[in-house]
Amino acid sequence: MDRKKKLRIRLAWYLLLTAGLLIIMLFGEQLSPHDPYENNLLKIDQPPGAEYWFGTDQLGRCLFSRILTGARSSLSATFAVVLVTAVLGTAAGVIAGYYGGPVDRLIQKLLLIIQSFPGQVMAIAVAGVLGAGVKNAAIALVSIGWIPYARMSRSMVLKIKESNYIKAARLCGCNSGYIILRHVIPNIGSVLFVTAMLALPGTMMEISSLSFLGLSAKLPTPEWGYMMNEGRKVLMTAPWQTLIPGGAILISVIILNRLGDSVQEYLEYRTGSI
Amino acid sequence: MKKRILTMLLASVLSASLLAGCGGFKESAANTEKGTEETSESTQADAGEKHLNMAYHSEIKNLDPAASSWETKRIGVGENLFRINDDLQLEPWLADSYEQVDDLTWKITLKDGIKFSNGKELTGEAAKACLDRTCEKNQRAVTMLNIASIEAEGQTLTITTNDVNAALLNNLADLVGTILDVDTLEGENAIPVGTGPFVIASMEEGKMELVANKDYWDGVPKLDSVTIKYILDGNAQAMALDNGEIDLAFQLPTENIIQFMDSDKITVTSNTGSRSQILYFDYTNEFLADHSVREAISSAIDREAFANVINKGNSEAATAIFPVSFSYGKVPGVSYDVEHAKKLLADAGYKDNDGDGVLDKNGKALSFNLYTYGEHGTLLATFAEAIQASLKEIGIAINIETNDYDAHTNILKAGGFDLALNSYIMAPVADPQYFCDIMLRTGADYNYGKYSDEKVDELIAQLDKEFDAVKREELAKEIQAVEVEDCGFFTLGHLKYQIAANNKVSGYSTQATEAYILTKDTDIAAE
Repeated sequence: MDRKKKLRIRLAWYLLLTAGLLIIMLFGEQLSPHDPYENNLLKIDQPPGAEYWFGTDQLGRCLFSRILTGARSSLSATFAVVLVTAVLGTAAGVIAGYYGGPVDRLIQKLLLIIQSFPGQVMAIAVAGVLGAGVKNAAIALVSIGWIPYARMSRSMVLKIKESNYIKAARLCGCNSGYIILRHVIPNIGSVLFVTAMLALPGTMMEISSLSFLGLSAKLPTPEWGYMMNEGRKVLMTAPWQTLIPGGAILISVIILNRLGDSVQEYLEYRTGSI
Repeated sequence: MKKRILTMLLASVLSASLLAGCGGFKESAANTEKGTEETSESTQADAGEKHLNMAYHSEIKNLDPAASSWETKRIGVGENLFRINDDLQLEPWLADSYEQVDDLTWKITLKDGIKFSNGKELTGEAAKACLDRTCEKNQRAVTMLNIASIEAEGQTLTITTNDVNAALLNNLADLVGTILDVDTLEGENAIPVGTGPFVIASMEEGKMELVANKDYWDGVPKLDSVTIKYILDGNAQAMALDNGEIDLAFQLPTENIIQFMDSDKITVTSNTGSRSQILYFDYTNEFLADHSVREAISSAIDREAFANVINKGNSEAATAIFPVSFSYGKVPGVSYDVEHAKKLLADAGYKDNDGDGVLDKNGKALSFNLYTYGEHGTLLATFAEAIQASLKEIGIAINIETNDYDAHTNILKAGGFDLALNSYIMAPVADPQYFCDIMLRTGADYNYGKYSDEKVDELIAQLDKEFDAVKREELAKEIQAVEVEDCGFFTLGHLKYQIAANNKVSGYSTQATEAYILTKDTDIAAE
């Protein structure tokens, strides 16, 4: 009881922090004290201070406002990528595992082909071919990100496919679609959910590194990774322009990481205690 | 649990390395330490030798003047018949004397007794072979030299041009006139041999080694050897210079130059240069073909602020085309006036009908692509963003596309790009004809925007034929005045040309043509 409570409190705490991130993501632009797009050439490279909390960049734009506004592209891309990869990967894995035969072999081959490329390199290549833009970077990450879900769900489906309750359902005349949705997915759902939660911080890092390379941000839309790249030029004279977006990425990644851990531990404990 | 801690650790290490690009920072710091060790070792090995380490901001792969390579001249390997001296006047170099026979014919006599560093004699025939080869392969050479034929006899070259080319001798000082031993230019891994004070000993991945040409015709070079290291990143160059891994760097980004301004061990020399930031208007775009749109764009960009604030005084705001510090540069241009720009667009019928902040006409939004590339201290990328913000003020939407230089050039060549921001050296041979010929003339090689004005063409034709220096300047001014009237191009400003070098180094060229760096007088003091 005590441990469960502790886990619950921790989970609640990180859910709260994640909610904070979501609020910044959704309303960041409205919360900005200054126009994040407005150049003010009289106030370029200002260090953090009372008027500009995080200082200004090389074109005199308020960094605090840009961080808040940039949260939308950085974070929403992260959540979208994880959601889409999880859904696509699971669908592919379940279909492969449940139906087997040629469908399974086809999907397996596809998995092997994509897996034989180094992930980040493949993402850079795909993003490079598609051109700059958050959407394209997300597509690039989805194209490699669905693999683990597909493998995992396939192996789990293979296992439960032979279990008695599936056989019973089939004997009762349930069709495959119903069995998958009603019996298969709920049984593998929690594991995949935890996997998705744990994938959040990594995806965030990948999005940020793609945009650091100039592959995801579409100027002048602020994006944390690209802001770091812009600040890199003045690293010696105005280090805050790199450190602050870097800090934003760091904090978000830590929050998402701890959230993933808490969810996993909580679910493990709960299933363990049932 | 262990795994979770590991993931957590990994994530924070990764993000920490993302943070501040610290990963790269530490790594290069470690590399440079290693580098210093290596250098000190090699200095020990060759005790008493004078060795210079120099940074180059790009990988030198091709040294062929037929492929428009600047490098052999900069590093003191190749030389020309003529050169530009530090007063920006033309003087004979490999040539001894010259004589104009008639409007189309020039007789140039080479100095006696000059040898390529491989021992071959520099004869009229050798010079002809190199010039012929470059003219055959390089469009820039064809445009600039416009040579019909070259006759060689002993040490004498007789050059006949197709049309009157008043700037021929100046243009022979351009990279396309570099004289190298033609037999050393062909082949995949060719290492060219020239007549200069230095000889290329080896070209490797990441660096090039030079040794002194002991038989140099103009005296013994002061340095014994030079290592040219390719360091592509401005910050990395600055760090290498700061910790002594390199002794000399040029074309450093503004931010890194500022870093060394107050240093007591690094000297920064700064010269007004002609390296411009210039905006192309694509005349095939229906909106940009409209004079009022071009004038509005020109009026909406505050060149003074770009040069003095964004680039922190490291460039000079332009008025017309050429640098304001040039004798033919002070031509009045379009002045910065946002209200005027707005009025121009309103008068021309551009209105924001759909209320999205972008003007439109006939149902089409006033929205352009702006192509640029990320080189030269990435200044262009910063300027592109500033242009985007400036034009937003007057209701023009800009979509920035940044590519690398080759891809960028291909897009420009293909046409239909709307706007493009480029950086060119406008006066590499200290003469206005070069830029007029390659850029402003109808159908010129670099006139990607397809600007065309009869008056300009006529004036350039006159300039090509005019031998009188004063009249040439007048013509250059007139050409610019017409171009300003047309708003054919928009020059934002000209970057200062800076070399940052260790105080021990002396005798390098800081000439703003950017054509020369290492000379026979370049020297490094002992520790």
